[in-house]
Amino acid sequence: MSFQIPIATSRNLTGVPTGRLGVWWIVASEIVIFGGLLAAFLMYRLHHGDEWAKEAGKTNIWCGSINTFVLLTSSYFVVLAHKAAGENKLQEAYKYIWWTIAGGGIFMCVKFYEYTSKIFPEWYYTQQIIEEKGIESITITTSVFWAFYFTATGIHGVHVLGGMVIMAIIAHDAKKGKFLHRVENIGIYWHFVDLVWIFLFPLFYIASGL
Amino acid sequence: MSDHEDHEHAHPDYKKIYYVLLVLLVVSIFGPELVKNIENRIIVVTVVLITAFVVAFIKAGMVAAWFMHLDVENKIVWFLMAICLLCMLVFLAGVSPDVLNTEGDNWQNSRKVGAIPSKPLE
Repeated sequence: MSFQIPIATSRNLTGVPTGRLGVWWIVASEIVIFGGLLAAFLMYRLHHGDEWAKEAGKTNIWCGSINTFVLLTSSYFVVLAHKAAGENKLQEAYKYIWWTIAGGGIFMCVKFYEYTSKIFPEWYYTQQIIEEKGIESITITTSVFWAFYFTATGIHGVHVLGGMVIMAIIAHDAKKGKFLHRVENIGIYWHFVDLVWIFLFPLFYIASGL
Repeated sequence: MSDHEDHEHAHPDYKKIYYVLLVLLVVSIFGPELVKNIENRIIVVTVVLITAFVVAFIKAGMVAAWFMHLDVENKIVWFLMAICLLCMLVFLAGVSPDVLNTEGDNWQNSRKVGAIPSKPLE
Protein backbone atom coordinates (compact mmCIF):
# COMPACT_ATOMS: atom_id res chain seq x y z
CA MET A 1 0.00 0.00 0.00
CA SER A 2 1.53 3.30 -0.99
CA PHE A 3 1.35 6.41 1.19
CA GLN A 4 -0.26 9.49 -0.28
CA ILE A 5 -0.08 12.98 1.16
CA PRO A 6 -3.62 14.09 2.06
CA ILE A 7 -4.93 16.80 -0.23
CA ALA A 8 -5.53 19.06 2.80
CA THR A 9 -1.76 19.38 3.25
CA SER A 10 -1.39 21.53 0.16
CA ARG A 11 -4.90 22.99 -0.10
CA ASN A 12 -4.83 26.76 0.19
CA LEU A 13 -8.35 28.16 0.65
CA THR A 14 -7.53 30.80 3.28
CA GLY A 15 -4.45 32.14 1.54
CA VAL A 16 -2.33 30.32 4.11
CA PRO A 17 -1.14 26.77 3.27
CA THR A 18 -3.00 24.28 5.47
CA GLY A 19 0.13 22.92 7.15
CA ARG A 20 1.23 26.38 8.22
CA LEU A 21 -2.28 27.39 9.23
CA GLY A 22 -2.38 24.26 11.41
CA VAL A 23 0.78 25.39 13.20
CA TRP A 24 -0.75 28.83 13.72
CA TRP A 25 -3.79 27.13 15.26
CA ILE A 26 -1.50 25.28 17.64
CA VAL A 27 0.22 28.56 18.52
CA ALA A 28 -3.18 30.19 19.07
CA SER A 29 -4.25 27.44 21.48
CA GLU A 30 -0.90 27.71 23.26
CA ILE A 31 -1.46 31.45 23.74
CA VAL A 32 -4.54 30.59 25.79
CA ILE A 33 -2.70 27.88 27.79
CA PHE A 34 0.43 29.88 28.64
CA GLY A 35 -1.40 33.20 28.66
CA GLY A 36 -3.91 31.93 31.21
CA LEU A 37 -1.14 30.51 33.36
CA LEU A 38 0.93 33.69 33.25
CA ALA A 39 -2.11 35.92 33.80
CA ALA A 40 -3.03 33.86 36.88
CA PHE A 41 0.57 34.09 38.11
CA LEU A 42 0.57 37.88 37.65
CA MET A 43 -2.61 38.26 39.68
CA TYR A 44 -1.25 36.19 42.56
CA ARG A 45 2.10 37.99 42.32
CA LEU A 46 0.40 41.38 42.71
CA HIS A 47 -1.61 40.02 45.63
CA HIS A 48 1.45 38.68 47.47
CA GLY A 49 4.00 41.38 46.64
CA ASP A 50 6.77 41.14 49.23
CA GLU A 51 6.28 37.50 50.15
CA TRP A 52 6.54 36.33 46.53
CA ALA A 53 9.37 38.76 45.82
CA LYS A 54 11.40 36.85 48.44
CA GLU A 55 10.57 33.53 46.75
CA ALA A 56 11.43 34.96 43.30
CA GLY A 57 14.81 35.97 44.75
CA LYS A 58 15.62 32.25 45.22
CA THR A 59 15.49 31.44 41.50
CA ASN A 60 18.83 31.20 39.72
CA ILE A 61 19.08 34.28 37.47
CA TRP A 62 22.17 32.95 35.69
CA CYS A 63 20.44 29.71 34.70
CA GLY A 64 17.52 31.77 33.41
CA SER A 65 19.84 34.12 31.51
CA ILE A 66 21.82 31.28 29.92
CA ASN A 67 18.59 29.59 28.86
CA THR A 68 17.26 32.84 27.35
CA PHE A 69 20.49 33.25 25.40
CA VAL A 70 20.34 29.61 24.25
CA LEU A 71 16.73 29.85 23.10
CA LEU A 72 17.31 33.15 21.26
CA THR A 73 20.30 31.60 19.53
CA SER A 74 18.38 28.46 18.60
CA SER A 75 15.59 30.67 17.21
CA TYR A 76 18.21 32.37 15.06
CA PHE A 77 19.43 28.97 13.81
CA VAL A 78 15.96 27.73 12.92
CA VAL A 79 15.19 30.87 10.94
CA LEU A 80 18.48 30.33 9.06
CA ALA A 81 17.35 26.73 8.42
CA HIS A 82 14.11 28.07 6.96
CA LYS A 83 16.04 30.47 4.72
CA ALA A 84 18.39 27.68 3.59
CA ALA A 85 15.45 25.36 2.86
CA GLY A 86 13.84 28.12 0.79
CA GLU A 87 17.04 28.38 -1.26
CA ASN A 88 17.14 24.57 -1.59
CA LYS A 89 20.43 24.35 0.34
CA LEU A 90 19.53 21.04 1.91
CA GLN A 91 22.77 20.33 3.76
CA GLU A 92 22.78 23.79 5.29
CA ALA A 93 19.14 23.50 6.36
CA TYR A 94 19.91 20.09 7.92
CA LYS A 95 22.90 21.57 9.79
CA TYR A 96 20.97 24.52 11.20
CA ILE A 97 18.07 22.33 12.30
CA TRP A 98 20.50 20.14 14.26
CA TRP A 99 22.14 23.20 15.81
CA THR A 100 18.65 24.25 16.92
CA ILE A 101 18.11 20.80 18.43
CA ALA A 102 21.46 21.14 20.20
CA GLY A 103 20.23 24.48 21.61
CA GLY A 104 17.13 22.72 22.93
CA GLY A 105 19.41 20.05 24.46
CA ILE A 106 21.52 22.67 26.27
CA PHE A 107 18.34 24.36 27.49
CA MET A 108 17.10 21.05 28.96
CA CYS A 109 20.47 20.34 30.62
CA VAL A 110 20.42 23.76 32.33
CA LYS A 111 16.80 23.12 33.34
CA PHE A 112 17.79 19.73 34.77
CA TYR A 113 20.52 21.39 36.85
CA GLU A 114 18.12 24.10 37.98
CA TYR A 115 15.39 21.67 39.01
CA THR A 116 17.69 19.22 40.76
CA SER A 117 19.58 21.97 42.60
CA LYS A 118 16.23 23.13 43.99
CA ILE A 119 14.75 19.70 44.77
CA PHE A 120 17.95 17.89 45.81
CA PRO A 121 20.38 20.54 47.12
CA GLU A 122 22.43 17.72 48.72
CA TRP A 123 23.55 16.71 45.20
CA TYR A 124 25.44 19.99 44.81
CA TYR A 125 26.31 21.17 48.33
CA THR A 126 27.91 19.51 51.31
CA GLN A 127 25.85 19.04 54.45
CA GLN A 128 27.94 21.74 56.12
CA ILE A 129 27.12 24.37 53.46
CA ILE A 130 23.44 23.40 53.50
CA GLU A 131 23.31 23.95 57.25
CA GLU A 132 25.38 27.16 57.19
CA LYS A 133 23.36 28.82 54.43
CA GLY A 134 20.05 27.29 55.51
CA ILE A 135 19.41 25.84 52.06
CA GLU A 136 16.12 23.94 51.94
CA SER A 137 14.74 21.57 49.36
CA ILE A 138 12.17 23.34 47.16
CA THR A 139 9.50 21.32 45.35
CA ILE A 140 6.21 21.99 43.57
CA THR A 141 4.35 21.77 46.91
CA THR A 142 6.62 24.19 48.81
CA SER A 143 4.38 27.20 48.09
CA VAL A 144 2.03 28.60 45.47
CA PHE A 145 4.91 30.56 43.92
CA TRP A 146 6.90 27.36 43.40
CA ALA A 147 3.80 25.54 42.15
CA PHE A 148 3.53 28.19 39.42
CA TYR A 149 7.26 28.06 38.76
CA PHE A 150 7.46 24.28 38.31
CA THR A 151 4.17 24.08 36.39
CA ALA A 152 4.94 26.90 33.93
CA THR A 153 8.60 26.00 33.34
CA GLY A 154 7.74 22.27 33.29
CA ILE A 155 5.05 22.67 30.63
CA HIS A 156 7.45 24.89 28.69
CA GLY A 157 10.19 22.24 29.00
CA VAL A 158 7.84 19.59 27.61
CA HIS A 159 7.23 21.86 24.61
CA VAL A 160 10.99 22.21 24.09
CA LEU A 161 11.41 18.41 24.19
CA GLY A 162 8.50 17.89 21.79
CA GLY A 163 9.93 20.46 19.39
CA MET A 164 13.34 18.75 19.46
CA VAL A 165 11.83 15.36 18.52
CA ILE A 166 9.74 16.82 15.68
CA MET A 167 12.75 18.78 14.42
CA ALA A 168 14.88 15.63 14.31
CA ILE A 169 12.25 13.99 12.06
CA ILE A 170 12.02 17.10 9.87
CA ALA A 171 15.82 17.31 9.60
CA HIS A 172 15.88 13.70 8.35
CA ASP A 173 13.36 14.56 5.59
CA ALA A 174 14.89 17.95 4.78
CA LYS A 175 18.25 16.31 4.04
CA LYS A 176 16.53 14.30 1.30
CA GLY A 177 14.71 17.40 0.02
CA LYS A 178 11.33 16.12 1.22
CA PHE A 179 8.61 18.24 2.91
CA LEU A 180 10.78 21.36 3.01
CA HIS A 181 7.78 23.52 3.95
CA ARG A 182 7.84 21.79 7.34
CA VAL A 183 11.11 23.56 8.18
CA GLU A 184 9.22 26.83 8.29
CA ASN A 185 6.32 25.25 10.17
CA ILE A 186 8.49 23.86 12.96
CA GLY A 187 10.30 27.21 12.99
CA ILE A 188 7.05 29.02 13.81
CA TYR A 189 6.45 26.58 16.68
CA TRP A 190 10.02 26.95 17.98
CA HIS A 191 9.86 30.74 17.88
CA PHE A 192 6.67 30.57 19.91
CA VAL A 193 8.41 28.40 22.52
CA ASP A 194 11.15 31.06 22.60
CA LEU A 195 8.52 33.79 22.89
CA VAL A 196 6.92 32.11 25.92
CA TRP A 197 10.32 31.93 27.61
CA ILE A 198 10.88 35.64 26.90
CA PHE A 199 7.94 36.29 29.27
CA LEU A 200 8.71 33.51 31.78
CA PHE A 201 12.22 34.87 32.26
CA PRO A 202 11.36 38.32 33.70
CA LEU A 203 8.40 36.97 35.65
CA PHE A 204 10.26 34.21 37.49
CA TYR A 205 13.89 35.34 37.43
CA ILE A 206 14.45 39.07 37.18
CA ALA A 207 11.45 40.74 38.79
CA SER A 208 12.37 39.79 42.35
CA GLY A 209 13.00 43.49 43.10
CA LEU A 210 9.33 44.33 42.64
CA MET B 1 2.37 24.44 -5.70
CA SER B 2 4.04 23.40 -2.49
CA ASP B 3 3.55 25.14 0.82
CA HIS B 4 7.05 26.47 0.67
CA GLU B 5 6.80 27.99 -2.78
CA ASP B 6 3.59 29.60 -1.63
CA HIS B 7 5.32 31.65 1.05
CA GLU B 8 8.29 33.15 -0.72
CA HIS B 9 9.27 36.50 0.74
CA ALA B 10 12.34 38.63 1.17
CA HIS B 11 14.29 37.62 4.27
CA PRO B 12 15.33 40.41 6.63
CA ASP B 13 18.86 40.60 8.01
CA TYR B 14 18.49 37.90 10.66
CA LYS B 15 21.98 38.42 12.05
CA LYS B 16 21.23 42.07 12.83
CA ILE B 17 17.93 41.13 14.50
CA TYR B 18 19.70 38.45 16.55
CA TYR B 19 22.34 40.92 17.77
CA VAL B 20 19.67 43.44 18.78
CA LEU B 21 17.88 40.66 20.69
CA LEU B 22 21.12 39.84 22.52
CA VAL B 23 21.65 43.50 23.45
CA LEU B 24 18.09 43.63 24.80
CA LEU B 25 18.75 40.44 26.78
CA VAL B 26 21.81 42.04 28.40
CA VAL B 27 19.70 45.13 29.25
CA SER B 28 16.99 42.97 30.83
CA ILE B 29 19.53 41.06 32.96
CA PHE B 30 21.67 43.94 34.18
CA GLY B 31 19.01 46.68 34.40
CA PRO B 32 17.32 45.28 37.54
CA GLU B 33 20.72 44.25 38.97
CA LEU B 34 21.97 47.87 38.78
CA VAL B 35 19.16 49.22 40.96
CA LYS B 36 19.10 46.28 43.37
CA ASN B 37 20.63 48.26 46.25
CA ILE B 38 18.88 51.58 45.64
CA GLU B 39 16.45 52.45 48.42
CA ASN B 40 14.11 54.67 46.38
CA ARG B 41 11.27 52.25 45.58
CA ILE B 42 9.89 54.35 42.70
CA ILE B 43 13.22 54.25 40.85
CA VAL B 44 13.58 50.50 41.44
CA VAL B 45 10.06 49.66 40.23
CA THR B 46 10.37 51.95 37.19
CA VAL B 47 13.73 50.52 36.13
CA VAL B 48 12.65 46.89 36.69
CA LEU B 49 9.38 47.40 34.83
CA ILE B 50 11.14 49.00 31.87
CA THR B 51 14.20 46.77 31.65
CA ALA B 52 12.38 43.53 32.41
CA PHE B 53 8.90 43.86 31.00
CA VAL B 54 8.98 46.60 28.36
CA VAL B 55 12.12 45.00 26.92
CA ALA B 56 10.38 41.57 27.03
CA PHE B 57 7.53 42.96 24.94
CA ILE B 58 9.99 44.50 22.45
CA LYS B 59 11.89 41.19 22.18
CA ALA B 60 8.63 39.25 21.74
CA GLY B 61 7.50 41.70 19.07
CA MET B 62 10.77 41.33 17.17
CA VAL B 63 10.65 37.52 17.30
CA ALA B 64 6.98 37.47 16.21
CA ALA B 65 7.41 40.03 13.43
CA TRP B 66 10.67 38.94 11.82
CA PHE B 67 11.44 35.39 12.95
CA MET B 68 7.84 34.16 12.76
CA HIS B 69 7.24 36.42 9.73
CA LEU B 70 4.02 37.85 11.11
CA ASP B 71 4.92 41.08 9.30
CA VAL B 72 4.22 39.40 5.95
CA GLU B 73 1.69 36.82 7.15
CA ASN B 74 -1.91 36.67 5.94
CA LYS B 75 -4.43 38.76 7.91
CA ILE B 76 -6.37 35.64 8.91
CA VAL B 77 -3.43 34.63 11.15
CA TRP B 78 -3.45 38.05 12.81
CA PHE B 79 -7.18 37.61 13.39
CA LEU B 80 -6.59 34.17 14.92
CA MET B 81 -3.91 35.47 17.30
CA ALA B 82 -6.01 38.51 18.25
CA ILE B 83 -9.02 36.33 19.14
CA CYS B 84 -6.90 34.15 21.46
CA LEU B 85 -5.24 37.15 23.10
CA LEU B 86 -8.69 38.65 23.61
CA CYS B 87 -9.90 35.40 25.25
CA MET B 88 -6.92 35.58 27.61
CA LEU B 89 -7.65 39.22 28.49
CA VAL B 90 -11.33 38.41 29.13
CA PHE B 91 -10.18 35.65 31.51
CA LEU B 92 -7.82 38.07 33.25
CA ALA B 93 -10.45 40.80 33.55
CA GLY B 94 -13.07 38.35 34.77
CA VAL B 95 -10.97 36.62 37.41
CA SER B 96 -8.71 39.40 38.69
CA PRO B 97 -11.36 41.15 40.87
CA ASP B 98 -11.87 37.90 42.82
CA VAL B 99 -8.14 37.39 43.27
CA LEU B 100 -6.98 40.95 43.92
CA ASN B 101 -9.88 42.36 45.95
CA THR B 102 -11.15 41.28 49.33
CA GLU B 103 -14.54 42.98 48.99
CA GLY B 104 -16.83 44.47 46.35
CA ASP B 105 -20.25 46.16 46.09
CA ASN B 106 -22.24 43.10 47.08
CA TRP B 107 -19.64 40.63 48.27
CA GLN B 108 -16.91 40.16 50.79
CA ASN B 109 -14.21 37.56 51.00
CA SER B 110 -14.72 36.19 54.48
CA ARG B 111 -11.06 35.23 54.81
CA LYS B 112 -9.98 38.71 53.69
CA VAL B 113 -6.21 39.05 53.54
CA GLY B 114 -4.57 35.70 53.02
CA ALA B 115 -7.47 34.45 50.91
CA ILE B 116 -4.86 32.81 48.76
CA PRO B 117 -2.46 30.99 51.04
CA SER B 118 1.09 31.31 49.81
CA LYS B 119 2.02 28.28 51.91
CA PRO B 120 0.07 25.00 51.90
CA LEU B 121 -2.56 24.82 54.61
CA GLU B 122 -1.55 22.73 57.62
